[in-house]
Amino acid sequence: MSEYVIETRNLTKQYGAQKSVADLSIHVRPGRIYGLLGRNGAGKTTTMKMLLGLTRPTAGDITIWGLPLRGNERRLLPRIGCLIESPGFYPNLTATENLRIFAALRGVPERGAIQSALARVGLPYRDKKLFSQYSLGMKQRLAIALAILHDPELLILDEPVNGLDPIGIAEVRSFIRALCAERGKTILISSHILSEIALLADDIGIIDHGALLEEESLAALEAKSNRHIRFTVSSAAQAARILESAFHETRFTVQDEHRLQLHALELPVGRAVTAFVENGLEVSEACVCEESLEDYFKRVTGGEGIA
Amino acid sequence: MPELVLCEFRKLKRKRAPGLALLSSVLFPLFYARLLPDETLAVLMGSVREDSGFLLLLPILVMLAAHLFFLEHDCDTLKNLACIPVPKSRLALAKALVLLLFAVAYALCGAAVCVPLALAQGIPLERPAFQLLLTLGTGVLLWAAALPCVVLVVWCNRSYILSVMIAFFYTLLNFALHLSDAVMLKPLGLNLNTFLPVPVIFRWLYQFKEPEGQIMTDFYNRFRPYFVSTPAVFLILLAEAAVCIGIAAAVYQTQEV
Repeated sequence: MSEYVIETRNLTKQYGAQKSVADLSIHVRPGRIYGLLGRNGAGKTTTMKMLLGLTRPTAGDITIWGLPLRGNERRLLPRIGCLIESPGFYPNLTATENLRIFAALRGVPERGAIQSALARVGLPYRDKKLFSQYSLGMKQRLAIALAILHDPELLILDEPVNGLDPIGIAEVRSFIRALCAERGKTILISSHILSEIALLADDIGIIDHGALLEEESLAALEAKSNRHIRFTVSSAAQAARILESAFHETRFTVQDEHRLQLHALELPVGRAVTAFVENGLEVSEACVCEESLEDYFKRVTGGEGIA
Repeated sequence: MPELVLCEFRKLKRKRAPGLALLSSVLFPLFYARLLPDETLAVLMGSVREDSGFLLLLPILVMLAAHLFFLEHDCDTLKNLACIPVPKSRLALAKALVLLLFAVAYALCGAAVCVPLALAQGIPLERPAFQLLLTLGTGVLLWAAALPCVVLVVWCNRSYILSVMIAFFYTLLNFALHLSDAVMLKPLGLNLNTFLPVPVIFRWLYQFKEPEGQIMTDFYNRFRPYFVSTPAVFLILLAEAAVCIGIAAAVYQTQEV
C-alpha cells in the first residue's frame, strides 16, 4: 500500500513547444487536504485533468492509491469525485434532473444520494428552477454536489469557491474541512487565492509556470517565513558596529544606509534602541516584522498573481 | 448501455425540436390523403417511407446527431461523464442507438397516422402488418444511411452550420443518385454502387411496389434484375452502420475534454 493517495513523478504536459506542466512531482497524503497554489495559468487545471485521465500526460507517471492511473481508470475513477473548471450541466434540466443522470450512470441509489448531496451544498431537492437559470454560485454548489454524490474517498476540486459569495465561501470551506476531518476524505484543492489555501490546506504545493516550486506542510511553510526586528536609524553602519561591540551580535543585515534587519529576536528592542541613542544615533523606527505567507509566496513565485 | 441510452433521452427533456421533428413524419401522409383520396394504404405508407423518410428523416437524423454529439461539448458535461468513467466509444454508441430509436419512432409515427387517414378516406386496410414492417425496416435502413454523414458531423466537431450543410447536400446527393440509371442499374458486387446507401434502399423498396399500367410495368421490369433482397440490403447497410459507428466513436474518442 502506497504512503500517498496521489503521487506523480515528473508529470509533464506539453502543447506544441509550450510546457503547461513540467516535471511535476506531487505527493498527496491520505486524510489530508492538499492545496495546489498557483497563479492563473500556472498549470493547476492541467495537472488535475491529467490526474483524472481527462488529458493524457506527455511524460511522467501518476499513481493513485499505489496503482498507475493509466489502465486502471475503471477501478480508480469511481472512487474519486471532482470539480474541474466551470460547472458543466444540461441547461434545460433542473439540478435534481441533472444529478439523476449522473447518479444513474454511476450506479448510485438515486433518491437518498441526490437529496443528501443537494442538502449538503444548500440547494433544494426537486426544485423547478432550471440549471440555465442558476446564478454562478448556485452552479458552483451544484458542481460540488455532483463531486460528492457518490461519496468518493478522494476529492479533486479545481477552484471550488469560484463565484461564491463570502458566506458561500465560508460554508464551502467548513464543509470541505468537515469532509476531511470527520469523514476522512483526502482532498486535493487548487486555488490562486492564498488565503483560501492557507485556511484549508494541511499540505501545500506551489506551482508556477507548470513547475512545482515548493511542497511542504502548512506548518513547515509558516516556519520558513522570515521574522526579524527592523531598525530605521540615522546610520545603519554605525548601528551595526554598536550591535557587534555592545551585544556581540552579528546576526543582522544592513539593508541600506538607514535600515538594518536584526535576526536575533531574543535581543530586547528597548536595550538596542537605548544603545543606539546613547551613541548619538537617531532612531526613527524599531519594530518586529514578520514576512507573511503571502510575502513568502510572492517571493517564491516571483511576485504578482496570487490574491 | 440501456441506462446510457435512457440518459440520452433524459437529456432531451424540455427540448421541442425532437418532438416537432417526429411530428413531421405525418406531413406527407396528410398531404397524400388530401390530394389523392383514391389511393391505397400502400401509397400512403409509401409516402412515409419514400418522401418523409428520404427527404425529411435523413436530414433530421443528421441534425439530431449533431445536437447529441455537440451537446456534451456545449454543456461542458463531457468531463463529468469521462470522470465516471463513461468511455466515449460507449457514449458514441448510445447516441447512435438514440438515433436508431428515433428513426424507428419516426417510421412508426408516420405509419400509425396512415391508418386513421385511410379509414377516414374509406381506403381498405390491405396488408397493414406488412406495410408497417416495410416502413419500420425502411426507418432502420435510413438510420444506417444517415451514419456516414454522422461521421462527418462528429469529425467536423462543433460546427452546426457545417452540419446543416452536410445534411442538406447529403440528402440532395442521395436523392439525385437514386434517379440515376448509372447508379441504380448495377448488379450487387464489389462496386461503389453496392455501397451507396440510399440507392440500395430504393433498389430494395422497388420490388414491393405493385405496378399499374404499361409505363409502371416497364419501369418495374427494367429494375427487376437489380432488385436487392431483404437479407442483402440489411447486411450491407448494417455492416456500413457498424463501420460508421466505429469510426465516429474513434473520432469522438480522440477529441480532448
